[in-house]
Amino acid sequence: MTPDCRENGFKRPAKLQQKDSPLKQFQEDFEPTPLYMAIITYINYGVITLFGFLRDFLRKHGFEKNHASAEADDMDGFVSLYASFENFYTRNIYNRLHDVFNRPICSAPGPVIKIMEREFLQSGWSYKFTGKVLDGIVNLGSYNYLGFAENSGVCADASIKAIQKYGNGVCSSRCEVGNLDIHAELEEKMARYLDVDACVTFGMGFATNSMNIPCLVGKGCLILSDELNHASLVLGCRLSGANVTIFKHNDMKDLELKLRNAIVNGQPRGYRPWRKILIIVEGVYSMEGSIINLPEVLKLKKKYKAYVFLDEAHSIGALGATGRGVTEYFGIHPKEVDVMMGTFTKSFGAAGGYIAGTKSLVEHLRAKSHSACYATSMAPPVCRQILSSLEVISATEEGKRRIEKLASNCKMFRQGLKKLGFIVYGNDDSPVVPALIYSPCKVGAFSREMLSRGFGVVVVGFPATPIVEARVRFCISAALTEKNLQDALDAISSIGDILQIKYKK
Amino acid sequence: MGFDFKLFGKKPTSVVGYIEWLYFIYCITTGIYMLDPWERTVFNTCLILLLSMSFYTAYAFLPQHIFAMLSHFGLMDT
Repeated sequence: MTPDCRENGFKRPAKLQQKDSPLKQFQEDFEPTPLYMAIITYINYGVITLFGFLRDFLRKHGFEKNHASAEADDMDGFVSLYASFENFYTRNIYNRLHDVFNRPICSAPGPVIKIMEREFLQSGWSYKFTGKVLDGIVNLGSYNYLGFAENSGVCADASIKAIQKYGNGVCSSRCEVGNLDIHAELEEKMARYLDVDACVTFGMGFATNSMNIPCLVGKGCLILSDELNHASLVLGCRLSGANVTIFKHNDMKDLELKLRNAIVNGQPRGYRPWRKILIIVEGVYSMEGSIINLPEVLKLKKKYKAYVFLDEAHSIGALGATGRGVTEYFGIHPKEVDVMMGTFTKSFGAAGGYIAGTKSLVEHLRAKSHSACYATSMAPPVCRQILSSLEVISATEEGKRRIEKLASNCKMFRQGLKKLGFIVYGNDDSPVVPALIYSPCKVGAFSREMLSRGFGVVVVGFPATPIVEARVRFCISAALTEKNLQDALDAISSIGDILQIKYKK
Repeated sequence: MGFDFKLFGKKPTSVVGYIEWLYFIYCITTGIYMLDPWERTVFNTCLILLLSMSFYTAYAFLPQHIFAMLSHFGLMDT
């Protein structure tokens, strides 16, 4: 402990010693795009766009059958509905890679899945099922972090008993007859797990964000949201009517600068002080695999008297020694974050979302939230699945084993990819591993080659990521064995040689 | 589109396989991997036409251009 110091007549209290936190080694790498790959990606998009124009021309003048949506013949003078750029992109670029997206699965999304094989006709406009089912595909794409997406076992049996007791549907909203006793039990157990005062749950994770942010902020408030926030947070910010300022991803200096500017300048016309300032960040960002620098955010919050909304969709259950999320990872007490939000879709293997915090916050949301008043509440088997998986995570050896397995799988896979020479974004501890493959052609070829070797991966391209940075996003699961991951690394290595995507070498 | 492109098991070692792999990398780099086979033919034909015309022009006119440049700069007697 450093001793109390006297300076200018003021006595400053002694500083507490910082525990050994992960912040010491907090480094995330976001390697910039190699120049030649950016040029090649632009050339790819250029050539495909040119041929897109050619095909549109042929379709318009009748040389080729037009499969796209078009106005009917008697709608001649009406404003056209189908002429935006988004349609051009879908028609000419997305359709050519159609077999890489939306693959239909016909089994539980566990470590090994079955995919229905499709045959594409007419350059991606339509497909038919060949009837064959590809079995034994290793699943590297589902958000199945702790492996609870199973169709047998403790959780599934408990869900079946819940169906026998409550049936499947709730047939009412939470404010009316849809408030079941298992909802109250779940909220109490979740509040105890997160070590906060109270918690409220909703039936849908997306709706939790978009319907509850308007309850917390309104006109005259300021929202500072990270550059790469999820669509649900962006929608919630827009619906609330508050002013929104965006700060650079995970950049604390930029956040401080914007905070200071906001407080000094006040509201845009009239310079009145803001009613409330809310900083919205996510625990783990799913496209980048980065973890938010939470201690710095809380330092800024205390200094400038703002509120923090933490979206732990991907980090609850996946980070921290007992899976309590990003607050446990950094050794921070959850009471320091004002609003903690999370979803049950990723680590708990169910559906829905929750918001946790002080009792007054939760009671306010219960009364005023659109999702609580108008949306149907969570279905009983889903609720029971969350309760049993929460029981497993927090109170049994099996849960501990799963959390440790997830951590060791992450480490092994990430180190393996980096050793092979791939550019991997994000923090070393996050369960989301994005490897960059900048060009759209390589992205399509990568996914097809992986499927032919028996691995299902998720590739993401333009609208979800910047145009030059198409990537393949691996989601590590505790249900994957070491052998699965090693086989995956071998397959990725051989494909990397064929497609020349080992950019670090 | 790339559906009808052959999938590679591993990096090929034979000469024919190597040339096929080189064509594959050329398709991926220029972006024609995603196009239909007839569009690939159109692109390749245009490219070969352009390149052959450039080479012919170079073959026919480059020596004259070089002579004229050198004599203009006084590095060679006309």
